[in-house]
Amino acid sequence: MKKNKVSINIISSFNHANFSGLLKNSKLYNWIINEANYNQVFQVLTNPKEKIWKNKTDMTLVWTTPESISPEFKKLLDRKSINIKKIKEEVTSFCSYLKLIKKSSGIIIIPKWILREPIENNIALTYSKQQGLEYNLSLMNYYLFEEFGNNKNFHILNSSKWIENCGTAKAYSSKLWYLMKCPFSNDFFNEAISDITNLYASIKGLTKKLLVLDLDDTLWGGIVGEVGWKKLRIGGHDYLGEAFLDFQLKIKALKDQGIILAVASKNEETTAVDAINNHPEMALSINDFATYRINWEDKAKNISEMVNELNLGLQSVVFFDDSSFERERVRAILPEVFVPDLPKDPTEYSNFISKLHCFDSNFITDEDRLRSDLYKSEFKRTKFKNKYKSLSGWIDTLNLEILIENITNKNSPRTLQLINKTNQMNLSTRRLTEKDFNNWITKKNNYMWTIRAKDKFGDYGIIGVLSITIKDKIAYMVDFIFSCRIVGRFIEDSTIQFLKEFSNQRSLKKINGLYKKTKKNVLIYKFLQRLKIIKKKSNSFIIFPTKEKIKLPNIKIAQPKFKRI
Amino acid sequence: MKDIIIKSIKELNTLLPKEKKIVIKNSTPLIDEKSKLESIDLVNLFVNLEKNLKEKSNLVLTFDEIVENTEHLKTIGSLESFLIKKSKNEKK
Repeated sequence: MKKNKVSINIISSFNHANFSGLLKNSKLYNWIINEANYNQVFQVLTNPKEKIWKNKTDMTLVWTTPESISPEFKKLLDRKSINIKKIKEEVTSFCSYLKLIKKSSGIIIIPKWILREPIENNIALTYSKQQGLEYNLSLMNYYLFEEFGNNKNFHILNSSKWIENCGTAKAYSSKLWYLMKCPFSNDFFNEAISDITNLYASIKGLTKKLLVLDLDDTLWGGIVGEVGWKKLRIGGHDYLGEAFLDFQLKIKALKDQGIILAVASKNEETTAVDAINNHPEMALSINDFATYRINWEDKAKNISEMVNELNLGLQSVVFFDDSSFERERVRAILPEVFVPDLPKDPTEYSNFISKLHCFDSNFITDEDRLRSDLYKSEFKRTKFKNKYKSLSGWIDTLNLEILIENITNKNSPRTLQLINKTNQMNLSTRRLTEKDFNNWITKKNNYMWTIRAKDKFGDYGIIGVLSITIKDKIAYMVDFIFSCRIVGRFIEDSTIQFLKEFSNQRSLKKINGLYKKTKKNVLIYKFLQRLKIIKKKSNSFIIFPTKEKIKLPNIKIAQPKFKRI
Repeated sequence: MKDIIIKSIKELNTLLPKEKKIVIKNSTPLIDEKSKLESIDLVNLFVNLEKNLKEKSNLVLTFDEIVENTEHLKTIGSLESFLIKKSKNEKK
């Protein structure tokens, strides 16, 4: 499998060669690393001509020890009294330098400050203002959180957790420090790499979407076919039952943040569904699952079928099963599916799922919360479609309504998500940071709308984005983006129709467009071909004025009054 | 002793780029002109070795010893012989 390239700048106050080596060899991404010499942090941050700022990178990691940023803090390590006002000044000054690099990097990562060796203070002075190491380290971190905690370009990572996960003795290496000025062990660096990789995936929307669950000894204790649903261990005054209940609650929370749930279980369907419906302590209900396969077939086959039914990719799937045999089978047949080893002890399940991070999302939209329902109604729609011979005949019966809306604070997160995540039905595949997006939509000549649709089976949510920029009465199409699950329902045609009407009302002379080819967006090219407007050589097209009228089935379109918000 | 050396080299290989990864063979050069390893790689290798020797066989190898015995550490094979000899001497 080809790995995605991710470019990263590394600036650190210590020798990070081992970290870079481990990062380059890590599995998920092809990391392109630009390194600054270590212990040159301020020089690199303040010099825009430094080599590493030559090209804009996806990420910049600024990893420093507290004493390298605050000389006042360094005095504490020598057991001297300090002035805490100076510490604040030094951290604030460092933060102001960090802000200088915002333009050169998409995401800036700062591991929170920890000591570079596991030294302990005089116990009585640990939290003293003038002499306490812990007090002043917390204070430095507090200033850092205050400065960047709510800034979407900056992400502070919890490096204390990496020490906890490794154990203090294994996290540090005094030998490496004295030999090569690297304070941390490779185990510790691997913890950091795991967090950085997961953070990148969550920001870029590359996280997992579907969780497929086994039932017996995974969602509940016991084998339902043998003991019956009344004797399953879920909740109640039972340590194991409580553990399974907690695990279910964690899964339910994932569903509420947009993760689709499904079941793949070897059982009699009626027996298992009875248990889900009737056990009073079940936190999950049958409605929480978008689909299920409860039968005696191969689980890999069942997972493949469900993934096709939900129109997802295998790489977006996670499979939980207590049986190592089933896990191995799915890994072998479907290598793209992520199959973590569940702990042997169910009391550790709940803790285990919270440490996975493969479902982490940077922000959650209304569409994410409703995703499971959206997929369920899509399944009903497809079933219904099979009854009709012609596509337009089918669309006519759906009572499809399209709502075209201006950009508002409420719909902008979903708009940004569509701009940055959609590949196939995307005219320009331009990607925007939140800042770039806000700048673009506030410019006088730029117009952007979202497209929402609903039909008799349910609400599709916001499934499209359209934007144009106008210059001298000529409009240029910038974004024409649709979620691929709705393509072919004339929603895209209706959007073009809307644009034509808009142009009429505004007395525009023309609407031009340019198809920017990528490896993945042939779908939009085919759409433009169907409209017979794309020019083969130049990939350009004119939407307005055109002779052809777009034939639309029975679709109601609600449009915005053409006001800017 | 071989297992400890292999474990230490595998740990080092997690840090090295593909073209520099060490093939585990007796004749593979370590501290030698033909070696692909840089000084930082050798430091990592001997830190791993020191840790694994201590854990698995309670044998203490100091960095000073390594520096003093570079002529015995030219290849993986000669490293193994050196460590076996050291282990025997310490048991006496």
